[in-house]
Amino acid sequence: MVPAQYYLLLSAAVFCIGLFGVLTRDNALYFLMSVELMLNAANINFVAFSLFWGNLTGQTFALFVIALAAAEVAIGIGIILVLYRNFGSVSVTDAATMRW
Amino acid sequence: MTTDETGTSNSGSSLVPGLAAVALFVVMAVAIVQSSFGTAVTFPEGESIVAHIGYAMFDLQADMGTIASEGFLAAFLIIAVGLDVAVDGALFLAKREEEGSIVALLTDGGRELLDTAEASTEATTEEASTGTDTPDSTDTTGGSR
Repeated sequence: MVPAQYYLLLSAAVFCIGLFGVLTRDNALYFLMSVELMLNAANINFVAFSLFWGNLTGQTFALFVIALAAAEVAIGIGIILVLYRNFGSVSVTDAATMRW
Repeated sequence: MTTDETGTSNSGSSLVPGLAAVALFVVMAVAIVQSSFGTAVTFPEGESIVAHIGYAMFDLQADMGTIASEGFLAAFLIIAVGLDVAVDGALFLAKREEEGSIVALLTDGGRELLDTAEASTEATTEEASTGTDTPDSTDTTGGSR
């Protein structure tokens, strides 16, 4: 069996890649993708410890996280659409105020 | 790597976030490698994992068998409602009402299809001015179709 540390290292790497994307990208679509990477890093941890401890709670909860990620993307795409209509671009730095 | 308005790359602005991400990974990696998680307890042989996930999701305690899990029926219902709210919210955000009419279906990636609408309007106007009607419009006798 693969040691749990390997899964955790993979999860940490995926999380840090997502964090790097969130910190550096201006494009809202890349922003969403980076947030998805961070969520999937959490999912890797859930599934890894579920396998490690022989308990299905982690795998079941990972499914719920995937569903929540889908909901987040649905709302995110809607916000990006509104962003494009009002600013003509999908850069998150353009929307600097709460109203326009 | 971010790009400025001219499209050129701006690697200097991503250096600090990159270093921060790498530093965070190093800290986490050191903590992970130095930690111990004990002996693994794997799933029992011959049990269907997928079936047990379904039992756990719908809180069917009688069918869960030998694989430990909790019931997630309440979470399942809450997530279902949350997904419904998300879809409604996405539709609300994507919908655009102008002059009292919903034109959400006439958009393409957020752009208005004004060119297409104007072109069709111009064609109709031109057609009316030249007097070239369509066969249907000239068929005032209610002929067979």
